[in-house]
Amino acid sequence: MVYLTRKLYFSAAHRLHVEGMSEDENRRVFGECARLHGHNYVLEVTFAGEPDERTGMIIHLSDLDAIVRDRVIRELDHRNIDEDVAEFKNAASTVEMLARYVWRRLDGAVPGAALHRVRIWEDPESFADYYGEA
Amino acid sequence: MMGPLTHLTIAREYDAAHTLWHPSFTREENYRAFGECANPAGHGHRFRVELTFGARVSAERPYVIRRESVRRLFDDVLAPRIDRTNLNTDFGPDGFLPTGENLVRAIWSIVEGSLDEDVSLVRVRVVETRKNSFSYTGGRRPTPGTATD
Repeated sequence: MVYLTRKLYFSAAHRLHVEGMSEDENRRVFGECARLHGHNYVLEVTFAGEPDERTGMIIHLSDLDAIVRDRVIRELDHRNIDEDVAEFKNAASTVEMLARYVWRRLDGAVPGAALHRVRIWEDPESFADYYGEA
Repeated sequence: MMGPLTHLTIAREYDAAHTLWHPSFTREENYRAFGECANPAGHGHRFRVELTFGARVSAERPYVIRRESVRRLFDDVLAPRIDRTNLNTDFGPDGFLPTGENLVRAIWSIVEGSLDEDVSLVRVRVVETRKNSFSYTGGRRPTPGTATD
């Protein structure tokens, strides 16, 4: 089994906010991230598979890029995540929840390769990893 | 056993001095064991400390750990020991030998002892230079392809 990781990039605005929690509680849980702000996110998707005997590849990177762009980047890049992405209208757009969102958009989407990990860097000091439900 | 499903890693950088000099070694033994790191006058690094936490996230708990808790760990718990300090004398306890290996294990104990919410510590990593980094996962075997490897 070989693991292949590809990086992709998107930039978006968000704020961390849970509906039903008071402003004070949101401030306490999320600090300054409770105000609208933005990030240059880095998405790392890791797929596991056996390299093709002939090509030596798990998947062609341009095919992989096309799938991730279509299913994920197009939805998030230059958006306000909380306003523009249905899944986050009522859920806090933490980097942890974004990792799970991306997993659900990509799991099973790439023929011949199993999604192993979704890593999202929110800034150079923070990232979340998600490995699926199992 | 199934592990926590989401890992969150937060890093902070601190500037500190240290030397690798074991008080009970001879001068020759210190230089043999620690090489260029054994200058008794000390040297310094910008240490990058990465903490990885694990928990199950949900709509009700949309985070692995509260960011305020992370800020407290870095600013109030670790910074007084590591930021602009001499790790040989200020990190503690007395006689502490601040190798990367000892630092990751000591930071593990300190952070784990300071956690006050339902979250598990998954990995401590210390990057000492571009060439050297150290990580500790609490004695558990790291999982290939995850944040712990």
